[in-house]
Parts: sequence; C-alpha cells; structure tokens
Amino acid sequence: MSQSYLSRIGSKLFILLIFGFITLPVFMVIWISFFKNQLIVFPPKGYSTHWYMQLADQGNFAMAFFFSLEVSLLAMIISLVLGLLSSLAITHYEFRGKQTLQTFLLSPLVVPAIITGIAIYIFLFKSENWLGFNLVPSFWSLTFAHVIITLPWTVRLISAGLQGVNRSLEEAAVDLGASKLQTFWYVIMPSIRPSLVAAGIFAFIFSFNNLEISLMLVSPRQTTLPIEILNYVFWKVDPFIAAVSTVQIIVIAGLMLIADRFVGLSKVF
Amino acid sequence: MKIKKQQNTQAYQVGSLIGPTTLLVTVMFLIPLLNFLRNSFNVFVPGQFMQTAWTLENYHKFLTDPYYLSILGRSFYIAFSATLLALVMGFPIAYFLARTKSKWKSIIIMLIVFPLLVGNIIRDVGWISLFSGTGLINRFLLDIGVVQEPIQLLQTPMAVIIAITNVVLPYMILTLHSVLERIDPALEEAAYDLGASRWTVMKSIIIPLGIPGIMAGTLFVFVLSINAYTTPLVIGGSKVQMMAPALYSQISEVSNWPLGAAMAVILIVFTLLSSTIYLRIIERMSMNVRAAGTEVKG
Repeated sequence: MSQSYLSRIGSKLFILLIFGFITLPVFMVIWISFFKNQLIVFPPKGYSTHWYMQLADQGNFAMAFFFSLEVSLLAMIISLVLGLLSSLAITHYEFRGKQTLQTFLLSPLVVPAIITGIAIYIFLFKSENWLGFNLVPSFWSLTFAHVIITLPWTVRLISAGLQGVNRSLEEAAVDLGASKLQTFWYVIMPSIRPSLVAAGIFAFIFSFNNLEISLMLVSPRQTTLPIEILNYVFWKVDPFIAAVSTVQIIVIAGLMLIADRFVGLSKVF
Repeated sequence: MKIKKQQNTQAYQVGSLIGPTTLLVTVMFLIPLLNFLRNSFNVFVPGQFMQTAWTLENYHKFLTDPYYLSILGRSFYIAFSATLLALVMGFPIAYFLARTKSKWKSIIIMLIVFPLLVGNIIRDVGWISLFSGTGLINRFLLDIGVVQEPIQLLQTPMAVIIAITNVVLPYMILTLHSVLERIDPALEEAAYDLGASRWTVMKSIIIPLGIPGIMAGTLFVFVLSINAYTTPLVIGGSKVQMMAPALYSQISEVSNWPLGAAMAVILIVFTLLSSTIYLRIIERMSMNVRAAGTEVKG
C-alpha cells in the first residue's frame, strides 16, 4: 500500500517537473523583464518596472509591433475568407480530385517555412524583372506569404466546423424556400461561428509569431516584431528585450483565452 | 476559363469557391517552390549571379564535403535526440491527461499549448538567460560548488537539443493524448483486477495500443526538429550549425542560390527518406509483437 502511494507521489512529481520544463523559458522571460539592472545576474539586484516605461520611447519596437499587427490582421482576414470558401466546396460538393486538392491546400504545412520564404522571395525577385515593377520587399508580398502559412489552419478548422453542421437543418431551410445564400447566412454561418473565431485567432497567432517566412521578404527599415527581437538578441539579451517579449506573451495569452472559449484547444491540434 | 451553359452549374460553383485559393497556393507556393528547387541544378558563378544549366555539381559539392555532411549529420543527431527526449517526457503527461477527470484539464492543456503559441524567439530569450555564462544554471552550479568557473552551455549541442525538445514537446503530448484517450479504460481496470502490475499494464496494453500515436507523434516531432531554424541559430550559433540556418545563410549571405537550393532539396529528401525507413521499421516491429502475442495465446 505504501509502495503504491510512493509511486503515485513519484509520478505526480515527474509530471510536475515536466510542466516546469515546458513553461520554464516563458517564465524566465517574464521574470527577467522586472530586473532592475541591465546586466542580468542572479539573484537580481532589485526589481522595477522601468523597462516597460521605455517601451514607448523605443520607436523601432513600437513600429515593428504595429507593422506585425497590420500584416497578421490582413493575412488573417484573407485566409479566413479563402479558407471559408474552400471549406464550403470541400464539405458541400462532390468533385473529382477533391482529396488531392485538399492535401494541396494543406501542403505548406510540411515544407519548412524558411524554404517557403526563400522560394517566394526568389520567384518574386525574378518576376520583378519580367513584370517591371517592385514586388519584393513589399507589404503585399509579405502579407500573401503569411496567408500561405495560415491557410492550412483556417481550411482545417473551418472544414471541421462545417462537417459538424447538421445537414437536415440546411435541407429544411431549402425546403422552406430559402435560397443558397440565405441558407448560408442564416443556417450555416451561426453554427460555424465558434470555429470561424478559433480559425481567425490561430491564423493570427501563427502569422504573428512566425519569423522564418518573413526573413527574406521584409525591408531593412520595416520589419516584423519577431525579426526585430531576433536582431536585438544577436547583440544582447537584457531586461528590456524581455519586457518587449512579455508584451507579445500577454497579447498571445489574451487571444488564446478567447479562442479557448469558443473551441477547446485540444481539438485544434 | 469560360464555362459553357450546358455544363452544370455545380462545376461553376465549386470552381468559384475553391478556385481563388487554389490559384493563390499555386502562384505563391507551388510555382515558387518548384522554381527554387530547379535552381539546384544551375551553376553558381562567383561575382556574377548564376547560369542556367542541368548539372549535379551542387549536390556533388555538398555530398563530398565533410563540412557540409557534418551539418546534415548534426541536424539528424539533434533532431533524433530531441524526438526521443520529447517521447520520454511527453508520454507520462499525455497518459495522465487522457485519464484524468480533473476539472483543471482544460487549463492544463492551455499551459501545454501556450509556450508553443508564444513563438520560438521569445523562448530563446528565456533559454539564453538560463544557459549564458552569468545565467541561472551556471549561478546554481557555482553556488552548490559543482564547478569553480562558469561552464560553456550556450553554443553546445546539448543546449540546442534541450531548447528544441522544449519547442516540440507540446506537439508530442497533444498527438499522443489524442490516441491514448481512445483506449478503453475498462481494459486497464480488467488487467488490474486480474492482478497485473502497473508496469505490465503499461507494457502489454497502453504502449501496444498507443503505437499509432507514438508513430505519428515521433514522426511529426522529428520533421519539426530537423527543420528548426530560430533555435539552432540563436542557441547554437556558429558552433552548432543545422541545415535550415546553413541553407539560409547560403542564400542571403553567400548569395549562392544553386547550393542553397540543393541543400533545401537534400533536407527535404533526407527527411522523407528517414521517415519512410522509420515507418518500415516500426511496422515490422509491431508485426513481430503481434505475432508474439498470438503465440502466447495459442
């Protein structure tokens, strides 16, 4: 009896340790951001919030933050619309090559984002000469590259949502004389709202924290937040960059809590 | 594309629903990717750009140079270690999650997923504060007197393996969890009632039935690890080079597009090949296990 009690305590402890390991780096970032001195030493000489006060003064990071926000919001909207339309075709129609097409739309997930980013850059760079106008770096090429990596998530989540819609409701609406558009708007849309919200939030997050896809596509003067952080980290790691990172952590934590309200997180991955 | 009137409207509807997306993925993903991989057969002329050709020179250069081969070997070794570590750490958690009736379950899942959503570069900031010369780990080792001087932790393969394991562990847990959850708890209860030990239950029920999850999880995590970019760049630096950062620097710093493209092809093919071999081995192993099982029963 005591032995099984001990082993139960042991396995609880092991699980707690692994949880500690998972959250350790994020916890460290938040902790360091409140250190008083610029040089990170343990134990800290004291705590303060003055690094957060400096955030507004550092124009680079504020600019990168808003640039990232703009790119990710737009990429999210575009990939939501495209994802919804494609998912409707996938779930509501039978056509030849459907399986292949579905795999094709999800395929950007399996190619490393760094390779996708380079490939898009080289292709657009070559097309530039041919077309005669500027393509890279440009806001739109960056945004559409982000659409490519977020699209698999919206297609997957929205098709899963559409598959859960009770088809007899749609048939009833059609029987009662509703047009296709009316059925879509009054029957389908309300029932897939949770998966739309989740798809949007995850598309935003995966765009916002992605660094690899943007590396070749940003201009030196206007970069995304993860790249700005990367460039700083090459140089040094101090409480200031931890404070910048903590802001991103808070934004993403907020979004995750909202997403969890609509769709259980374990269903997403 | 003109749609003739006699063709059914359904094809038109499908086309207008899924056409724009297909077009976008073709133009922004498929064609660029094929075009980039085509570059791997071109010739690099230093100073100039590159010349269109059909040559295997770049592949030859990579596959005969010990320096490049060591990068590929290291990528494999680091990805393999991280996958194994993630499996060992992830399995208990996934099993615990699959069996717990705690009301905290959704919060626990959130805690697991959260670091994954925060992004790699942020976590690397945390790792640097742990691994650096003045970092928390060195401080601890100095305080308890294990070492007299700070030891080098950053830019070591071990640090990269730990940091990558941390990145991929949530994926491993979630994949295993989805499979372990479907195993009927009644099987375990029956085994316990018949006097089986915890270890026997693990060995003869949970692990064999969890094989599909273990396969999917390890494969997914291995692919993610071998393609890692940010973590090896920031934690490993120039001393622990892996394929993704190395091929990026060929493109952006050396401007050797053909060699960079060849490295991309090699990385993709190598990943596919090792995944296929791995699946074959697991298939054979699980067939042997099943054969042994029927023998015992007979």
